[in-house]
Amino acid sequence: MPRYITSRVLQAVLVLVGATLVIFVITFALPGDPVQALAGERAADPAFAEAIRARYHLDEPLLQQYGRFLLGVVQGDLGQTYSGQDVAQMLGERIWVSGQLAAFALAFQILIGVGAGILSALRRNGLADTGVRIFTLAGLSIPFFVTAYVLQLVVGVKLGWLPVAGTEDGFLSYIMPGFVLGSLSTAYVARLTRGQLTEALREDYVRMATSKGLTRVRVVAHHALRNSLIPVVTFLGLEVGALLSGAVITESIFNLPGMGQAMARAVYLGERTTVVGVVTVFVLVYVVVNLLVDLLYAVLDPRIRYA
Amino acid sequence: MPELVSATGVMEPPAIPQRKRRGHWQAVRRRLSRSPLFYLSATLLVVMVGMAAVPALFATADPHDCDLGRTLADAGAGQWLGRDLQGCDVFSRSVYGARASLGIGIAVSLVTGLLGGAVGAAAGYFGGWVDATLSRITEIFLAIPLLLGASVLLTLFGTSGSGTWTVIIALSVHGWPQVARITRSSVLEAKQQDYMLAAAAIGCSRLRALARHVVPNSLGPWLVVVTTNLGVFITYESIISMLGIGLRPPTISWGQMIHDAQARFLEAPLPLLGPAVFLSVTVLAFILLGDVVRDALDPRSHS
Amino acid sequence: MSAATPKGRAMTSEHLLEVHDLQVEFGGDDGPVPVLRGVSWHVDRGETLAILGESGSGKSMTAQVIMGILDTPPARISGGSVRWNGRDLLGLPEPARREVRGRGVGMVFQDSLSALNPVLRVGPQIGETLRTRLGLSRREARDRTVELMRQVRIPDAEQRYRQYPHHFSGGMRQRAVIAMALALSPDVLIADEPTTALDATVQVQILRLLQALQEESGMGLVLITHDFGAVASIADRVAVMYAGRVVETGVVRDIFRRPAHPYTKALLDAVPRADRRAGRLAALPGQPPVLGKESTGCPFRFRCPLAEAVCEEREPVLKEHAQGHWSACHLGKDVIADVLTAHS
Repeated sequence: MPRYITSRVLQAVLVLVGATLVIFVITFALPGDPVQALAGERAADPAFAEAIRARYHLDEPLLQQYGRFLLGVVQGDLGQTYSGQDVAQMLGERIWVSGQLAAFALAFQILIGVGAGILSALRRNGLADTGVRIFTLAGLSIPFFVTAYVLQLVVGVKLGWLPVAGTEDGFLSYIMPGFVLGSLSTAYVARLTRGQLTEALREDYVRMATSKGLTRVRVVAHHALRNSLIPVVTFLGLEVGALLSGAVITESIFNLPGMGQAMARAVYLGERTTVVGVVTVFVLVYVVVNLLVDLLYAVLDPRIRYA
Repeated sequence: MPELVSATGVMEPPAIPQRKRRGHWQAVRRRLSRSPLFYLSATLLVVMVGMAAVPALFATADPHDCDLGRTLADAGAGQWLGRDLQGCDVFSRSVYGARASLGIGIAVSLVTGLLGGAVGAAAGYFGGWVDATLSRITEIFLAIPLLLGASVLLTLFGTSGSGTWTVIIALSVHGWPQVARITRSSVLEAKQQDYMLAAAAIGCSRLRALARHVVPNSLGPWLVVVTTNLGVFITYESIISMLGIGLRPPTISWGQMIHDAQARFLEAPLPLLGPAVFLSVTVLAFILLGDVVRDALDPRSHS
Repeated sequence: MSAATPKGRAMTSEHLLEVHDLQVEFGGDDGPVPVLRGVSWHVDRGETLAILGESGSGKSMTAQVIMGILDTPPARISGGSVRWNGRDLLGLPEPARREVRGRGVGMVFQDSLSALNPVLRVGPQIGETLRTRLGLSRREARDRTVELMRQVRIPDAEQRYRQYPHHFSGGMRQRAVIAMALALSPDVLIADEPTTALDATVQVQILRLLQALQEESGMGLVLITHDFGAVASIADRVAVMYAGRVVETGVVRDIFRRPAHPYTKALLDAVPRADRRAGRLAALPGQPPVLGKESTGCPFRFRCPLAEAVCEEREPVLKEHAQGHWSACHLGKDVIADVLTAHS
């Protein structure tokens, strides 16, 4: 087990360094004048160009530049926006909103996705199964931002059940955006759960559990479900990337002052330091979450733990 | 639009030449021909490809003939989905948007399919340090969320002209690792089967074993992911255009229409919902196709 | 068939477990395909019945019907009954059915690796029903489980209790599965090819163990196998299955000495025996019939060295050739014996 943890942590660090290097190379080392790139559409005035050169030590060799960048990231320095605001500080103020949104989204994915998957697998080819399959197909094909607009119009404006946008109403404000963001992967979760559980129900150890005279509930919950949820957990970990990407759109549509909204705004305005800063933070989140998932995996599956 | 030719190639998996495995592909073709969902998705796709190829046949008006005086006009005779902020016919613009959306979806699927397929196949087949290196690189790119990575590229390099090529490159750079991962595991699985040992035992060359056994057996999962990805990348294109960093006028795309319509959505939903329906139907068709192909390739996976 | 009372148990017509005229079919593209075509056998307390046949003959499916773990659909039970102490299990509602599982009839699966849940520790898996069904406390269940593990001769039972299935060798896993099936002391234990996945030496150990356990508890044992050697060493009676039907049944000595069905005879000839000089083992030519293909005639006639015109016309029914010895063959028992002897 210690060896497994060590190797996973090392791997995570490697991925983190590699991914930030890729972002760094894309931002600063690809052909083209980085100063002009950072200055965006406006002409770079000499003072600004000088500041940028000094800030990023552009006269040094590439690896040294990257080292400085990484050192900055480690120390929580992600640079400044054009208006001179500290990016790390700005994101720090916004991370709580994004975190709440992500929590709601994850809760919806698990409740609806896993729930529908179980229902579907237990009532295979029944009415509920057909319903779930149509629902998942719709969920897979209707882009989540369309869902967002439709819900905003129907639930928010026409019915007035939930706030249309903003965060003034506390946790009520997060229900609709959370559902929308969750809907990004809910259908996949439902499909995966259904497939895994259907397969597990055919396993000998599940039939053995039945033939021992256990109740259906116990057979499903204790024997079949536990094994079928392992891949679902892995999937949810990998989907964090999609969740973070989705937050950019969701927060913009629902006007939630989170990191995603900052990203969308920065992308639109061409404000590169913020863009690079947000992506760096998101990569960090992704790697850490997947490290945790790997460790959880070992807890759930003893074959890994003792391997 | 050369991509469209390859689109029909994807739609007809049995056409893939597999001389020695004729029985297998015949069975696949038979299962496909028996599936009503295959015909449904094929019909939808033929209509969409038709729109992309000759939009004038489907459109009711010139998409560039806009009348600012009739901005956000309601649906009515001759303008089924009303008019957008610029006073352009939403239905006709949606029809014309099919070309860019489908084209980008197909191009990115092909590029990521070939790149990811090659990387994954090499990693899975050669193993050892090749696998270790390629897998680490794949993991690193996988850690950068596709949409965010593409956004960085597009923000930094801007979009010149219509932005078609930049969007294709940006999505491809970050879209291949997923294909690589799936291809690697299916190649690995095919390689570890006992029949590979048997092939080696009877003196079958490595290359021949690769061509006869590994490729046909790992082609299925690859085909499924590439097909399903068509819909995924079409969605990504629309998201990027929605953020305002994707395709630019005069190119018409669904994402860009949605981008233009979102500000006034609550008062005039049709200019947004129109392209959204086109988008959803196209994605649905590709997902159904992916499902049908998967079931036809591996009947055991079917319930 | 229920009239058959081989051990002369005239006292009661009720057997411990009796399968009568069981019929199961699978829904196919071209209508239902019969898989079990009227299977009948029974087992009594303290008795070992061996069910013998090739793969696909319906042996395991019969067991799954008894346990109620057959997937329906695609399978469908179209007729017959399964009686346990006189109660028809097939008609029982699910809760009552569940009561019988484990306590009335227990089952040991063929592949011990897949029969044990890989993510749960072995001990708690064995003792699970002690807690859920007998309501024992954690400690009581644990003690009883360790006792069960000792009973099936798992060494270091206390340490083994906390280990996972992948820590066990094949033979040990099969012992654990047996312990699990025995946890509630069932009246009947059905062992579905319990030794197929094991090494030859371990096979013998497991068979001896099953025999010993049966003698200790006096339960009925149904041993499903395709291994004639296993049958000879521990069975009291044998039912030979072919193409979804029992084609011969009787006490093991009669079956071995005077097989009354050409199929049984062919199976016997395929067993290597030290006491015979024959230089070559006889292999049975051909393949088992494809189910659902032919509707009339004896399903074995394509591979039968004695097939006559009558075999093509109608399918033979089980007939009692001697006391307690039944066979489904148009040819008289003596004819078969004579001809077959001449053959070999």
